[in-house]
Amino acid sequence: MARVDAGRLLAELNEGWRAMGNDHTGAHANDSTGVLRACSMTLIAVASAADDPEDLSRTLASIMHDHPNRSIVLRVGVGEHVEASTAIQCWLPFGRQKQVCCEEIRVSAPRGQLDEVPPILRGLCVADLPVVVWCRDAALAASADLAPVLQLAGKVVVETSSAPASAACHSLSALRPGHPRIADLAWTRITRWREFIAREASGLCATAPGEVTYSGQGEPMAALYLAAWLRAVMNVPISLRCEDPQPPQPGMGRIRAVRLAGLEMRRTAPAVVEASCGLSRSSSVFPLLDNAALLRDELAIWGADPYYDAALGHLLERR
Amino acid sequence: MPGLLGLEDPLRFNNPVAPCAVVIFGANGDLTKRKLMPALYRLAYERRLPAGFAVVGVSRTAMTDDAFREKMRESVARFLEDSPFDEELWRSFAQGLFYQSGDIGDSSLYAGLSQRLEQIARQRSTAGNVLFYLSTSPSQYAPAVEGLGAAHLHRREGAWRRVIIEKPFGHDQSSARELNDRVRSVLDEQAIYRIDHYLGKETVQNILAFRFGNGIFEPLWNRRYVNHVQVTAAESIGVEGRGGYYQEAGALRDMIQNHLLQVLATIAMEPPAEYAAEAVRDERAKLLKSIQRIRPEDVPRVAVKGQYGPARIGGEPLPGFREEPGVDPLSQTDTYAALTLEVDNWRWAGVPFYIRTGKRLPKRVTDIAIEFNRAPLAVFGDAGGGHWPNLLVIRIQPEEGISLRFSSKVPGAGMNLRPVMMDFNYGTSFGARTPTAYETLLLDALEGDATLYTRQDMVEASWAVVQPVLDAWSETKFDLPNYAAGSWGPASSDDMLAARGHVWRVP
Ligand SMILES: NC(=O)c1ccc[n+]([C@@H]2O[C@H](COP(=O)([O-])OP(=O)(O)OC[C@H]3O[C@@H](n4cnc5c(N)ncnc54)[C@H](OP(=O)(O)O)[C@@H]3O)[C@@H](O)[C@H]2O)c1
Repeated sequence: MARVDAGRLLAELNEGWRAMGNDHTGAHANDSTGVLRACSMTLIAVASAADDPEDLSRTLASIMHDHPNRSIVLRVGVGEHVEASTAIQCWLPFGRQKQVCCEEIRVSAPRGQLDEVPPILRGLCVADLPVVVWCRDAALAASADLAPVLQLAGKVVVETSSAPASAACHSLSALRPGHPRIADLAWTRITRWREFIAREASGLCATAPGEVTYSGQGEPMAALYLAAWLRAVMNVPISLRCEDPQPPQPGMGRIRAVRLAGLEMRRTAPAVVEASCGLSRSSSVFPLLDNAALLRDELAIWGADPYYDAALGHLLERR
Repeated sequence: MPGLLGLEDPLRFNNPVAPCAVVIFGANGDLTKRKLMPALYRLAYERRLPAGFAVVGVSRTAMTDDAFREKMRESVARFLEDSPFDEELWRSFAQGLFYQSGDIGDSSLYAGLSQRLEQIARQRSTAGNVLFYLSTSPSQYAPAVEGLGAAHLHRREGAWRRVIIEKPFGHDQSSARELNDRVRSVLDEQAIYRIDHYLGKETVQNILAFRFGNGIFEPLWNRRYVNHVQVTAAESIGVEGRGGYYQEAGALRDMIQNHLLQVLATIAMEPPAEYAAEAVRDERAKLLKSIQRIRPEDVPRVAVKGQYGPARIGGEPLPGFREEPGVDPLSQTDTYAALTLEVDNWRWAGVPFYIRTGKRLPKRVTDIAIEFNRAPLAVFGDAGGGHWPNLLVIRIQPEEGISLRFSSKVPGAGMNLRPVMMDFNYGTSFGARTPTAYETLLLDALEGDATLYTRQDMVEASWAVVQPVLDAWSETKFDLPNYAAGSWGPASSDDMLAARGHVWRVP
């Protein structure tokens, strides 16, 4: 088994570009046809053996349009040795003649050999551009094995939506000290809720306690985040209550309703939330968001995110 | 008591657009078809429009709501740029489209419109907010605003009313003033949105980001380091059937007075204290007011007028401007104009700003080139980079980007230098689609953000720059045509730069 070498992988990619006859960053930059080599960051996607690699690839391909990047897919707990391969992904933007292409490197490593990976990744990151690590499994992200990989990143994105709240909070508190820029797609998922609440509750003077209700077993992170955010921005007590122990219908999400000083906002259908306050009623459509859409939103934010930090702070403080 | 952070999360929430209706005067016209309706549809596609939203088209031609919807469907499907047309979305968008026929000069139009808007407000919950878009011929702008005023449609308690006015805002300094007086007799300045679609272009906005979001350029952005600036807006096409209209306007009025002077203001303005409408517009206005007034006797030295003649390109004969349909065979209209401008302030005193625009030039390109002073000492002698001073080029179209020219050693023995370009292409860092200027500008007006709209003092200041040239040109008979289609313009334009030791770049 040949040793995996970052220099060789990069040479392989360069060969790929050459083969396409297309290093268009130079004299041909003004051509309207051909290929454009695009990159604005390195995105390291960490997946466990249980994750579906095809699904991951589709997500990465779909975010390329908005955030062209060199993506490095690191599959943990796979195979007997550290292995790597390269590919170039291209797409033709609608109505254009020039293809846009990005690089993808796939690395797999058995859990016991993870310590061999960071030096390879260090050699593979694009110089001088931001590095983001996306690891859906917060517990894996918080594990000691992965710490050197996370050290490479300016931003670490996890996803706690389906984890039990106590485990998720444990992972988030473990991650927080080492990484000033943590993001959680479970938080990104509630943006539409927060936006709707902000519209409906603007001008509302809430002094009485409010409530967030949910369905299904166990407190969902989405509801915990929403309650923590409301506490942080409205400075009123917000309680959490299970309305229905049955799991929600597909597409409904687990948050059922939010009550604030006479205003109630309730999810009535997969894509619909209705607000009522006295006799007045309004509704909003919540688009169904997939991982790619959430990641796209998250990658657009580079600096500090005081709203998430405040909500996470309130959430962890209470547990 | 609310917490320290508010409910609004500016990092993640879209600016809210209040429920409203858009009334387009001139809805049967070309602009509505090509730009406005595709932009509104695209905003709906991006979910930027509020649930309570409606569009009312107004023109003289009689049409039912359904006929208007069908006409708009065809236009949107045809003119939508860089994005697919979604039939299902169109069906829901089209439910909010209405049509009202009538003549802008006829008061009964406004009575009918008023009733229609009330009805729509109830039916579509638009809350009485209305954005009027004047997309008719310029002679109808003032009558339309006066008609709105007389019918009390320009104001409504508890709701906002805004008016977008298309270009051109006047055809000279005095008509711009007169138009402004008539419009202002009805509307407050805050309700007036004078459009200059160049300011809505993503790359023009990016000039501000480039200048004021980076620390390394601003220290060089002044007379100590900048030798001169060239702004080029070239089109390869001719007047394309719009000869009649173009004959009345000309390149100086059509491009320089508005778009290119706004670009120049963006390049040369001082940093605003904050990115807010009045702060940015104050700085743009200040810059436009500091452009040195051209004295009549200086016009031949600092302004060049051109008109293209016939040519054969690629084996095909191309007509000269005077042979175009609808054009006077003795027309004196400028299809090319170039100016040398100077900005009288501490930052720019003595730095020439050259601006040129024209039709039937070799290619379609709009860019701004900032040429820096040469290195103070030619250490490498003749083989050095002295012939090629540093050049920063900001490309606005067709391929947006920024390039920097610098000198580099040619590999091998000896110290020979050669210019090289360092290119940044927007496509390499961002997704493929950027919003069109009309999407940006319509959304801004719906949100009540006038940053990218021009204010009366800006309009007047830019007319003041070109008026002496227009006056001098109207009194002179030029020997036209003076450049062949497919060339970079008249020789006198090269002479204008040569007199100051400069040459036009080949973009
Ligand atoms: N086209 C462009 O790309 C473009 C670009 C920049 C700026 N503009 C500016 O935008 C404005 C509109 O341009 P356009 O090209 O759309 O013009 P246009 O094609 O001439 O359309 C104007 C429409 O207004 C309607 N109209 C004319 N007189 C009217 C009246 N008295 N009352 C009611 N409606 C009337 C006409 O329809 P009916 O015959 O049905 O009444 C006509 O279709 C112009 O000021 C132009 O300078 C246009």
